[in-house]
Amino acid sequence: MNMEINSINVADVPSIGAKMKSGGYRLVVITTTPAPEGYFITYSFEKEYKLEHYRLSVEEGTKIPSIGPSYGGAFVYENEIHDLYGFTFEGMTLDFKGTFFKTSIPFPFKKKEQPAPTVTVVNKETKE
Amino acid sequence: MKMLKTIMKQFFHEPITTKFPEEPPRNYEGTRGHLVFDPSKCTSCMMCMKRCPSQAIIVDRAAKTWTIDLFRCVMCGNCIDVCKFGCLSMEREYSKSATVEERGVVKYDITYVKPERPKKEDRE
Amino acid sequence: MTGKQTIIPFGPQHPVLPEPIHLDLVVEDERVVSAIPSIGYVHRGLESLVDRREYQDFVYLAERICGICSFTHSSTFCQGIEGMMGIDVPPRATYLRTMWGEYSRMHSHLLWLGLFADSLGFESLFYNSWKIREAILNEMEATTGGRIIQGVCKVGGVRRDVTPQFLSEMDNRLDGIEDEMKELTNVFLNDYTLKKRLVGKGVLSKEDAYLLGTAGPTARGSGLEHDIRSTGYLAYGDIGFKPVVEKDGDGYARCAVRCKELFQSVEIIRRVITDMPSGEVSVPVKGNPDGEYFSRSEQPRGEVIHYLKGNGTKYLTQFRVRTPTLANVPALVSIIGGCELADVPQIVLTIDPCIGCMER
Repeated sequence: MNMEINSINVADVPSIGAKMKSGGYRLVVITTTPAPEGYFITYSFEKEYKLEHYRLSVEEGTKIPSIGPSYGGAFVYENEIHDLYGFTFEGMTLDFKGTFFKTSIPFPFKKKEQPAPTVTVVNKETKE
Repeated sequence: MKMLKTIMKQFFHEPITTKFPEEPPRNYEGTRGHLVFDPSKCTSCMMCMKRCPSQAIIVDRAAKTWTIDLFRCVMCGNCIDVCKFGCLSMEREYSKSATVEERGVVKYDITYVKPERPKKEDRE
Repeated sequence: MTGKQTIIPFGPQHPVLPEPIHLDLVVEDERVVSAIPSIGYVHRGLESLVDRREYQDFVYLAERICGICSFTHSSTFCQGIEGMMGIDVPPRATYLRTMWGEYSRMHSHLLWLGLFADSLGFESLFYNSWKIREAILNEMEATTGGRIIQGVCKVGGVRRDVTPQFLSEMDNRLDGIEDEMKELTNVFLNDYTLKKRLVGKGVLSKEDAYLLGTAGPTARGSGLEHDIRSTGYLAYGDIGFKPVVEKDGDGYARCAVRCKELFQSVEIIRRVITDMPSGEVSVPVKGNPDGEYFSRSEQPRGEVIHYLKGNGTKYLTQFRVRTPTLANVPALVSIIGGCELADVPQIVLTIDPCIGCMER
């Protein structure tokens, strides 16, 4: 598995999309993960079973240009990241405006100040 | 013509499904059916309580009881691998169903007695 | 000619669908113009439990993401942790995992064939497919202990071993299963009424399949030769592997790909049984995972990718799964435009939706 990750800026996203599409690459997945400051968003492309990754480092609530003009199928990943983490993508092919996943707590995967307890207490009679 | 052979076979063949509950259900020797606990070997180390993925086991060290909620148990077998004293094992019959009032919570009293250690002078 | 457009909901409850997904169909005089999907009915939030269970116990949660493709989820997760920590799994364990993975693929394709026949109205074909599937589930239960959720993978190998005598008996039983499957796929591929309802409906071209990021038999039915098993993970590097590809891109081609993959799986299982190396089946694991890793493998429905991240403690910090059904949803939106209203149920079924996996 190829694990090398290249860092790019927010404004480079459409040009990376155009470069990969003309090179014959296929979009695999867009991943978000909490980092020591802010979040990392990683775009993974693949050609003939070899992976390449490009990583953005962003703060909460940043607006990112969408990769939809090059890869039409990316709206699925971008809507999911918007509903779970709170980032806004501009210019998506199909925009659900926050109703892709309907959760009872808005933006459930954001970083919280207090981490969740290790053992969840469900009923009143169970003891930890 | 092939269709005629299939149709004739359907008339005379016995049903393939198991006629439960007249016949017992079919299971094999390694099937993970339900969990069995032996109270005389448990030392209350609480490893099975920490490692259960669905939190079905509760051990109370002060009151010396071991409780399992049979409806939360998913029969994964993690507690059997983790227990160092061999008190847990898996039987092959499937678990029985129960109503909401019965709830399936079973409590055991731990009857382990620590064996006496011979004094150091005897071993030398 | 433009008539008036109406919107018809293809709801979460439908006799054809095994799991709930919602499509809003924009219809103009019996022809569908476009479709808007809407998901999120079974979202359980399994990924947020990862910081509350130790990484060795999380295997049991990972395999319960989906009921049909459960073995490949647990095997991909174990592969990810072993890659991150640099553990070498013994060869006998990789061969056993390959065997169970191929059995899992066979049972999933037979389940799909049964559901597909039921959606077209052929209930006795449904019964016959699932009758063969029972024989395969009995094999799984005798070797692993569970019919649907196997619970046999662990970090560092597998939990159970199989005796050589049992393996040779299994080889004889596979002959009987293969004969019954030949009769069944003969009906699916050569029947006049099935062909009328499948040929030419729901066409996906090769360029569209590549740019929309499709995976699995949906992409291989359009001429795209893409199968992760060619990279040679587990035992596929020793055995050698070539994907099954069809060129037309319609519903009949996707059905033919799945029927031919059934026989390919039987061949792979026979090779695994004859070449099985001897030795131990697991290695002890010490230490904690640290770093990040992308782990890919081939589920019955396509390419699945697991992303794992650890920071040196017993609990992982992040776990993300991207299942093949999520990658096939853009293809579904593009196929449905332009078809008749009565063909919508079977076109939705040809991409093989597994919605429980898609929204873990």
